[in-house]
Formats: sequence, structure tokens, C-alpha cells
Amino acid sequence: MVKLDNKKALEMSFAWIFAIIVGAIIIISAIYIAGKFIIPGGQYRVNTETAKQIANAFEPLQTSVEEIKSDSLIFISETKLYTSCNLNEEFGENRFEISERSGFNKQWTERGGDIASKNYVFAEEEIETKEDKRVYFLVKQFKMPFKTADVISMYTNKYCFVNTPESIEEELNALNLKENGTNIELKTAVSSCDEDSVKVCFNSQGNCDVIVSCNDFECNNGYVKKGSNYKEYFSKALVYGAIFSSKEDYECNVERIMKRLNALSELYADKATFISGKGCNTGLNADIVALAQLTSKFNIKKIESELPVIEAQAMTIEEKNKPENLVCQLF
Amino acid sequence: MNKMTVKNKIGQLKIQQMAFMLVAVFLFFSLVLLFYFKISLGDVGKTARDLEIQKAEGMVEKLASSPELIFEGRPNSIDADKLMVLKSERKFKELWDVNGIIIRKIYPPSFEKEVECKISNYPDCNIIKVFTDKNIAPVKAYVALCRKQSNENGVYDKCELAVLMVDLNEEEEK
Repeated sequence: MVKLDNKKALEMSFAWIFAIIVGAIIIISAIYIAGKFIIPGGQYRVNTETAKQIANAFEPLQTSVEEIKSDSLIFISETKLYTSCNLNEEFGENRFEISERSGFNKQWTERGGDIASKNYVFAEEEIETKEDKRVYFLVKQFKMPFKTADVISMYTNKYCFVNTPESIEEELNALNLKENGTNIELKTAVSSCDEDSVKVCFNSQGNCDVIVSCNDFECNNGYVKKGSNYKEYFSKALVYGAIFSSKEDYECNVERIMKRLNALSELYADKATFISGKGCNTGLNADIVALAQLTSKFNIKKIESELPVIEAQAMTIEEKNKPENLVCQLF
Repeated sequence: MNKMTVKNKIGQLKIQQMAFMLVAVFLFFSLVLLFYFKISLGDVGKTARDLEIQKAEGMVEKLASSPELIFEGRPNSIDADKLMVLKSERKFKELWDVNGIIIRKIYPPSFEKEVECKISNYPDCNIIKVFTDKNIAPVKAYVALCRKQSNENGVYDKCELAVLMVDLNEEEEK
């Protein structure tokens, strides 16, 4: 049996215990108040960092071999994303702000600083994460005739595509909709869609939130109608942009893409001249310069008449650049 | 009477002791708070730098498949001819939001020394600098550097192994 020689317990006076408890309360309150109001940033800083992380997440979303891809981001707390678009400087930009639900009473916090991105993000001006706390991205390559940009559609709602044209259905099915978590379902009737989903109807009317009227079987161009007044012309990859974005965001981003197409046309015209000196005569110079001129004059208000002309010129160049027609290809 | 005075004095002493303790504990925790502020504020700069590096890493992937650099739609292949044309196009610097791009040919080894590509010596060179004079940058990726080349049989595509480096924006790097 072991006997303890020293049986003294730790003696602590009431003053000590009281002081420690009060001190702890003071410091916890101080940290909370400082975190909330004094430390530069606080929640503002957290929201700004999150916006920056989202802008960074767009960079590796670019397509290379694949024509279309999807991805999603999961947030820790409920989040609101504010998107805007401008035509500043040479290529314009998208800007993002974040607000999160935070604190004991789960209030929406003040928006963080707005972060710029040179990507082409098509979204509603304000989107809010749902129960799954996810933001979804659908990325489609925009080619006219060479790769010009990636149309990134960003959304949080569940979408239900009804009566989808075969070409669109095929490319969406290739994404493995369920496994990749695109939050898009393909149905044959509006009645089969989930109640809370945004119903997108192709070439049909009915109880739909968005109506897509295709001009051809493959739905390469046509109109997207939202509500009573909003009607937008689209071409190729822009169909997704038109479905998932607001009118202002769509028009601004289309203008930005045309600016990029203009710059790229000039670059390819210079490349054609440059490689002709190395024995690679493409004979495409005049066509590319014509494309550059068309895009430089692009006016979004005349999208219905101007975009088809640009598309036709792009198709002419694409045809001439095919391996069977050109030994030394330009792109 | 005497007993009560002694008890009061002991009580006063205890109150004094407690007050001193409260002040001491408050001062101690204030120091902890100051330390926390310092760490927290220092962390802002670090977070900003981390985010910039994260951006640059994504940027390298993006650049390799960007329409301005990609070689005839081939993944991870950079068009050296387009790069030579791009050298003078400052507007693309704003598009990518980087300080510069450096592409160094690494295989097959061509020169012992570093020879910067200019219109006058292209393609007999091994480093292409776009919008920068630096020779090296921290964020890199391996790519195929391709160009049009001609010989007696005609024109063909020639690709070499290269390293693509992105020079971050200087102000943000600091």
C-alpha cells in the first residue's frame, strides 16, 4: 500500500477563482468585439477572401480538349454571390462580392470587397446557395471559328430542361449529370420537374420559367425568353449563358467576348503574316482581317443582325482552314 | 471591539488583493489580445500572398489552354509563333493580369547559353520573354512549345519540351 506523505491540496483563494473567471469573460468579450468591429476586415475580410478564392477557382475551369465541362464549389455556410460585369479597359471584367450568414443569429453579413475576374461568368446578379450550399459551374467553349473564350455559367438553383434538343441533351449527358452534380435534370414534360426547379422549355410553351426557341434542329442559334420582356438572341455556346444569366450580365459578357474575338482575329492575322515568311502561306489573311473589322464594330443592340454575319464569316474561315483545304493550317 | 477591527482589516486586505488580481489578470489578457491582433494582422498579408500564389498556379493551367497561346487546339501545347507576335501586344498583359510570361525550351538542349528569342534570331533561341525581362519566375508548368517549321519536304509542326513560367504582378508580390 502506498502512503502519500503530502496530502495538501492546491489552495486557491476566492479572489483568484473570481479574478480568473472575470478575466476570462473580459477577454472572450474583447476578442468577440474586436473580431466583430475593431480588427480591420473581420467578416468583411472573410467575405473578401472567399470572393478572391472564387475568382481563383475560375482559372482552372478553362476547357482544353473538352468542349464542355462542369464543376461545383461547396461553401461552409450559406452564401450570397453578387455578380456584375463591366466593359472597363480593353477586355472588360466580371466582379464578385460575397456575403455569408454568420454569427449567433445567422444574419447576412456585410458584403466583402469586390474582386475582379477576366473570365466570362454568366450568372444572375444575386444568387444564394440552397440547402446543399453549393455553387455550380457549367463551362462551354465558345469557338468562332477558333477558341475565343469559355462561357462559364454559374448558378445555385436546380434546373429542369424540358424537351431538350438532341445535340444539347447529348453534351449534357456526356457530363454524367448525376455523378458530376450539375444540378440539371432532363425531362420530357414540365410536370415531371421538381417543384422548386427552374423550368427551361425548349421550343415549347407552358408553365416554364425560361423558354428557348431554337432556329435550327441543333439549336445553334435562337432566342431565350425570360419573363414577359426579356428576350435574347444567342448563338452556339451562348445558349447556356442566356439561360443562366441576367439580361445585363448576358449583354455585357457577349460584348466582352466580341472584344476578345476582335483581339484574337488581329493576333491570327499577324500570325498568318508571320508564318507566311516561313513558307506557310495560309491565304486566310483577308478573311481574318474582315472578321476583325466585323467584331470591332459589334453593337449589342443589333445582336440579332450582327452576330449571324460574324458567325457566317467565321464559318467561311473554318471551312478554308480545314486540313483537306489547307496544307498549312492557321489554327 | 478589537476582534471586529481585525476582521474588517482582513476583509479590506482581501478586497485590495482581489482588485490587484483583477488588474493583473486584465493586463495579462490585454497582452494576449495585443499578441492576437499582431498575429491576425500579419496574417492578412500572408493570406493575400497565398491567394496570389493560388491564382498564379491556376493561371499557369489557364494560360496553357488560353486561345492566345494554344497551338492549334492541342492541349498543353503553346504556339511559339503566336508568342512572338504577342510580345508587342501589351493589351494581353492586362487580360491575364500578370507581370510577364517566360517560356524556356529545355529539350532537346539547343544552346549552352541563354539566347532570348527576337524576330531577328527566331527560332534559333531558347527563351521567350513576354512583357518581362526576368529569366525565371516561381510558378511553372511543363508544356510543349510548337511552331511551324519548313524543310525541303514542306511545312510541318515542330514541338519541343519547354517550361512555362508566370511572373506575378510585382505590387501584389510585395
